[in-house]
Formats: sequence, structure tokens, C-alpha cells
Amino acid sequence: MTATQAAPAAPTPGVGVGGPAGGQRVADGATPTVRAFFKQWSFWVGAGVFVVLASLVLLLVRGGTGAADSAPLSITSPAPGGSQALAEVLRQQGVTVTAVNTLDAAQAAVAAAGGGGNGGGVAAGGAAGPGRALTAATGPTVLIYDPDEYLPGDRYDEVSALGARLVLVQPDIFELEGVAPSISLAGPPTGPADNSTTATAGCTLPAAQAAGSITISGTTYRPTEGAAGTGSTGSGSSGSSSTGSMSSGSGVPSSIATAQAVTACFETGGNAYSVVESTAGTVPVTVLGSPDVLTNEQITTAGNAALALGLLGQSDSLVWYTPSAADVLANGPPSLGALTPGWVTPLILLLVVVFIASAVWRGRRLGPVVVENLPVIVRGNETVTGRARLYARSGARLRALDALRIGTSGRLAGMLGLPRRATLDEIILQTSAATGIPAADIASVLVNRLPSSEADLLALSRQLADVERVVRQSVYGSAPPTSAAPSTTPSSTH
Amino acid sequence: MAISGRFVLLVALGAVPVVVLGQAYDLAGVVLGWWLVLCVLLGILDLCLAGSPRRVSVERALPMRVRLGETVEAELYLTNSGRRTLRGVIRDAWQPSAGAATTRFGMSIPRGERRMVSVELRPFRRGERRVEQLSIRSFGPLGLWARQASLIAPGRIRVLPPFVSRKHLPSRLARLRELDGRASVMIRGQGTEFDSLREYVRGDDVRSIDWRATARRDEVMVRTWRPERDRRIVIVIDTGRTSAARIDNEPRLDTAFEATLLLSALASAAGDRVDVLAYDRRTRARVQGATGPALLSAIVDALAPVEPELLEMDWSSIPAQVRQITNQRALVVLLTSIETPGSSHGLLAALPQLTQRHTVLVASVTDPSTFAAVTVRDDRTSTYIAAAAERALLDTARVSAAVRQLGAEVVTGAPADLPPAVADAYLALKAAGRL
Repeated sequence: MTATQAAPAAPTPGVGVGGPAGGQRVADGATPTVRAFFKQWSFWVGAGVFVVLASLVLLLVRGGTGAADSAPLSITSPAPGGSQALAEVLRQQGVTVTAVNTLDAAQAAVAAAGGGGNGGGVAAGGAAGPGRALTAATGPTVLIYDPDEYLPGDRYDEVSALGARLVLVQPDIFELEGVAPSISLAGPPTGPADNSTTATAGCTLPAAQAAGSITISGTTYRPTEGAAGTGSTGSGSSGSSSTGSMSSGSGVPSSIATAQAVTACFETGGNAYSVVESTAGTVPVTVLGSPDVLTNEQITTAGNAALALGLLGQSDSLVWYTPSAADVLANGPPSLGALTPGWVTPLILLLVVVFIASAVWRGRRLGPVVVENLPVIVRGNETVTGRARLYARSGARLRALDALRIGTSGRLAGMLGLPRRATLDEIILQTSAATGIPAADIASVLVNRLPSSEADLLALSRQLADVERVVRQSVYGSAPPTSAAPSTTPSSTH
Repeated sequence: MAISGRFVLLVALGAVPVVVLGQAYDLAGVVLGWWLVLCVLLGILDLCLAGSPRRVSVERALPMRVRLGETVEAELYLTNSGRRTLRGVIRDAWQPSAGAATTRFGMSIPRGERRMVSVELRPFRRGERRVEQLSIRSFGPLGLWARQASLIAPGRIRVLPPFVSRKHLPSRLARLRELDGRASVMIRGQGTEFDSLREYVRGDDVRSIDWRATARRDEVMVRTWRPERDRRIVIVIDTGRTSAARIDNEPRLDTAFEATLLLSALASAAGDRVDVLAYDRRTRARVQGATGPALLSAIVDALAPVEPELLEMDWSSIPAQVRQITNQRALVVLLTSIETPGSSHGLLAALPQLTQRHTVLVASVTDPSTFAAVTVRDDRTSTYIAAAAERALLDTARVSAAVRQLGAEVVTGAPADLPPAVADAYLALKAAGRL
């Protein structure tokens, strides 16, 4: 390959078959120009731009309304398991509903709502008296729904200190111990827990009385033994079966503060309740065992709506706290991301760009692929090989040996100077005469013996070759002509 | 558009500011963004300053023909008629079997100037080898981004059959001269015709004295004889499916071309007229009426682009084709394959029509590996292969016998041996006066 400076004169024409004669005419381009490209592909380019723009617009619209959340009891979820209906009704009633998913955000939301704190909650509770504590709460109500148990155990104190009132929806046993030790788990309801049955209030809790009955689902709870016993004797406030049934307890008088601490409503079986309220702790805590009461699907059945609104609508603002994985991370050791320097991610991005750029660099072809019709390659001896495999596979020993015998007899006849039409008997006799081998042996090799096995076939084919060699030696002498050429020698003419 | 390795390196160099400034001022993300913007801006600038790859005029200086296995120089002249210097890579897109030593080369052409590139071509397949397009990648002064375009600049070169069997020609020509009158063959006999009368000199055969002429003149006159001349030879090449088979790594068709060329060279030297027809179901090539030195070049030119077709040879139309070429008695050489009675059925059916009017010579390539396989009987596999090879030879022998029975001659041989064997058969027929 040489690239040399050509003489200013034109190259010697004449031998050329290609190339324009004029010399200065610019060659036609096979690659379309940018303009031609867009003209040709305008529809698809337009369609692509349209799709991208439409996706952007859709994204913006959806972003404005907020993405639908399919998590259970999400206040933005219109699904059957969500709670958007309840949240909307509460908003219409003037309650500010704030959804948060970390404890820090919940604390901030409570602080923003202007209430909460231990002092306010306790003061309000104390002033209003145990019976009507809920109506007097001025701080925000905090609903906690933690089905995945994200809330770390060492932060239950902070949960207790959150707001004026806590509503725990289906808490687990650890959450109960940490936040409301006066209430304990009573296991699943004795009846079906699929909202097919209802339970009546049977207690003095205003919200429960307003509701009358609710559907049963989830888990049930009961007052902790010690607390309930003292509570029932001390209060004596109701003739309901709820606390009265516990009256046969130990009966040892305790402090006044815990006297009327626990109220249990909606009994679903032997000493198991769907709603239990405790004012024993620093803040009043209501445990709602059946979360389906709050869902869009079940809110309209029985007295579910009344109970939900009664429990959650007592204060001006409601913090809807559903703990998430962020609560766990916030407490773990520093993550890998926090430990790596800030330039690592941009560097990785840069390497990705470099990778793409080198792919484009190496992958861009210089011109189109050159096409060429290539000849098919057929090996000439394929038929021979194929036929040999057919013989071998089907064990056609006799047929294979026949071919060898006919070939050998033909060559023997040629060597012995017999005519083409000589019979096999003549060939056998002449061969016997030429070699001295008994005619019967020659006949058995050339005709009579049948190959009963592969070993037989091999032996016979070798004997055929031997006979041929012996005849050749006896005819042509000890220095036979070079080739063991068969009858139809190459380049034989007519 | 295309980018260079230099651009990739430039982007990769961004790692330095990203790490340094990221460590010092925690600005890694910002630095990354600005670095990429800088790279792209430099690339766009480079692209704008690159010379246009479209404003190039292309001229080619190609030899018309080349024999297979020989090397030629293909020259390419590029004139930059754009406004800026063109620097970059150029690819001359020859077909792979044109055997170009290299197809891409770097080049810098200032505006308005011309550069020449010579490419060495060594084709490894017979036929028409083409180049359709020329692709130019034109980089800007920074060598980051490039404009790229393909230009239509067709060129072709005809690769002729190699005619390696021409080494056999001198010996056959010598034997032809022995037949010819130049070697003072005064014997009357078959294969000779009356040439002239001349005076008797001592040593001449008294049997060749022409008494009538002697009576008219005062001297004793003798007749001289020369071999027959101006005979017709029609070579029919089978380009059907069986001609694609490779024997000794040479397709049967190429062997047939070699035989055609050798026979044509010999026959035209002997003063006979040669016509060539390549046929399967239609005519693939035909050379008719060419004589003398033009004959061989006409034949190689016509046969160069012929390839085996995936068709069964239509033997039934061959007699009509031959009749179309000549009405005289001729030697018809059929270059085909003789394999099994089944596949030679069409040939055997058409032969009588040909042998009725003409002398027919059937030439077929045989596979030397088949002969070799017959004698190898070491184990089970090789014994079966020997049996199959024997069967193939018997088939060939049967078909050959049938062809001979129909009055035609048969010549078989390995690819290297067939062309001289056909030439020898021709000489033998000529000596026997059977043309």
C-alpha cells in the first residue's frame, strides 16, 4: 500500500474501465446526506419525538397528582386495600391528614401540627379526666401501621413521645410492649377474620358506641392481666361485660392513675377484643385490631366508618405514619454509600460514557459490508463416504464384499490377459494355474464363502488383496509395475 | 459521523479533574458534566472543520484482465474538490476474493489536489471481481470526530481461468507436427487428404506416384498428403450441478475449462475450427466462429464468469444445440461427469442422436482418492470405504462401457491428467482420420 503524490498531470487513461472521463466530476454518494436522511426517515423521527414528548407530558401530569400508591392503608391509594376514602372524608371534615413514612418525618409532622409533646398530651389527658380523654386532646393524632415491622425496637420511647394520641393499627407484640404495655395480644379472632362477621361495641368508648358494630379482621387484643383487673374494679363505670368479666382478678388496689386505664370494646370471643384503649401510659393509646375497618373496601360496612372517623377525627390534624425501610437504615451502621468519597459515582458514570464512546469508536463501520456470492463446496468423494457409512450401519457385509470381489475378478482377468467376457470359472482356473493355489481355495475367496461376521469380512477382503498381489507377482515378476492400479486406471483413453 | 480513539481518550482523561476536584472541593458531579460538555463541543467544532468526504472525484485505472493466481496493481486517483484539506481514512471496498492486500489507508489531500493510491490485487477466485463503493472518513484538525460518506465508484476486473495445463501444449504440438506434412509424412492413408503434386525425388514411395499427372507432364509426379484440416470441433461443457463437485480441491468445471483451453489451443494450431458451448438448461457461454489467436482470448473471456448452477443438465437439448452450431460432421467433446447409471441416464439417452452424425468424445474427471481408497483395507471402516469405492468404480466402468457401446469415446482422468488425456484422444482421432 503506497500513497504517493501523483504528478499534476492526469493519470494515463486508457487502461481504466471505471472512473469518469472528465476527471473532475464529483462521485455520487451512496450515503444519504443529513437532509436526505431526515427526508427519508421523517415519519419515524417524528414518531420517535412524539413518543418521547408524550411520555414526558404524561410523567409531568402523573407527577402533579402524585403517583398512586398500592401499599395497604395508603391514604393515596384508591385500591380496595387503600384508605384514600377515609383520608378524603377526614380532610373534608377539616382534619389535616399528613402521610409520613419515617419516624423523623413523623416527629417533624407532629411538631408542625403544633401539638404533641408529652406535656400537652398528659396535661390534656389529666384535665379532662379519664372518661373523656380523647375529646380533649389538642395535639395531633398519630396513626401507626407497621405490618412489616420496620420500626426499630429501641425507638419505641420516641414513638410514645410523639403526640397526644396514638392509634396503633394491628401492632405486634413488641410494639405493644414498648408503647402500650397495658394491652396484650390475644391472637386471631375465634371466628372468621375475613370481615364476614361483626362484633358489637359493648363498651363506653364514644367512638365505639357511635359505631355500634364493626367487621372483624386482623388480630384481637385484651387488657394485660394486672392492669385489667385493677381497672375493672376501680372504674366500675360500665355494666358492660368488657371489663366486668375481669373483676374476679386479684383485686389488689393499685394507683389511681391506672385505675380506669384500659377499655376494651368489640369482643370477638372469649376475652378478646378488636379495639382496646389504654390511658395508662403517658399518652392515650388506642389499639385497632382490625385494619380492614379503615380500607376503602370495608369502610362502608357496619359501623366501620363511624369508628374510623371517631378514632381518627378527634383532633385537628392526623399524622398517618407507616414505617418504611428508611427507619431501619437510619439506625444501622454507616452504609457503603456514606463511606465512599463523593467522586466515585461521577467516575463510574464517566467510565460508562467512555465505554459507550469506545463501543461507538470500534463499532462504526467504514462503509457497508461488501457482499459476494461464494461458491458452494461439494467434495467429490462424498458419495463414496456416504455409501460406505450406509454399508457399515446396515451391516451390508455381503454387498460390500460383492463389490470387492467383482473389482478383484475384473483386475485378475485384466492381469491374466483374459477377455472382458471371460467367465468367473475361467478366471478362477487361470488364477489357480498362475499361482499354484488350489482352485477350490480361490473359488472360496472369490465367490463361495459368505461373510458371517465383520471379522470374516475383513479376513476375506485381505485374502482378496493377497490373491491379487500374488497374481501380479507371478504375471509381472518379482518387481511388479509400480501401481496397484485397478482396471479403470486414471487417464486411460478409450 | 464517526469518532476516533483520540476522542475516547479525551473523555477518559476527564477522570483526573473528576477525582482531583471531587476530592478537593466535592465538585465531582459538576466537573463531570462540564467535562462531557467540553468534549462534545470540541467534537462539534472538529466536525465543522473537517473536509467534506463527498466532494471528492474518483478515478480508477484497472487492468481489464488478470489470470487467476497473478498479481496486478489497481490504481485509484482521488481529487479533493472541496474547500478544506481532506485528512482521514479511505476504504476501497473490493470484494474479498479480489485479494486486495489492504483495503484501507490513511490519506491527506490538500484542497484542489490529487493523490494516487495503488492497491495490489491477487484474486483467488475466477470470474468477475468488483468494487462498488469507496468510503471516506474525514477527520477534523483535532482528530476527534469525523464525517463519513460512501461514494459510488464502480470498477471490475475479470479473472481468467489459469490455464495451467498450457505446459502440456508444446509436447502435443510436436506430436501434431509429426502428423502434419511438415514432418514429411508422405504416406497416404486414413486421416490425410490430398495436398498437391510435385516432382518425384529419390526416396519417395513409388506407390504415391500419380500416373495421370505423370502422363500429362514429362516428369514423374507424386501426390503429397497432409492431415485433414478445417474440421469442426464442438466442445460442450456441462455446467449443471455435478460440475460443482470438488476433486483434488478443484471444481469439475475448472478442470473442464482447462481441458477446453488445451484442446482449443491444440486444435486451432492444427487448423481445425473450435466452437465452445457452456450449457446446463440454458446457454451460459458460447464462443463461435473465432479463429487464430483471438480464439483463446475469446474462450477465456467467455468462460471466466461461468459458475456451476444448481440445475440438472438438460442433455435432451444438446443435439439441437450442436446442430445449431454446425451441420457438418464434427468432433463433439462432452466435458461432463460419468458417475452412476442413474445420473448418466440423460447423457446415454441423448448420445445416439449425436453419434449418428458426429464423432463424440465424453471426458470425465475421476477422483484419485477413490482409486487410493480401494487398496486400503486396514480396518472395518476402511474396508467398507474400499467396498464403496470399488462400487463407484464399477458404476463408472458400467457407464463408460454403455457410452462406448453407443459409439462414443470415453476419456477419464484425475483433474491434473484429464486435459492432456483429452488432447491425446484428439490427436489419436486425428491420426486415425476419424474427425
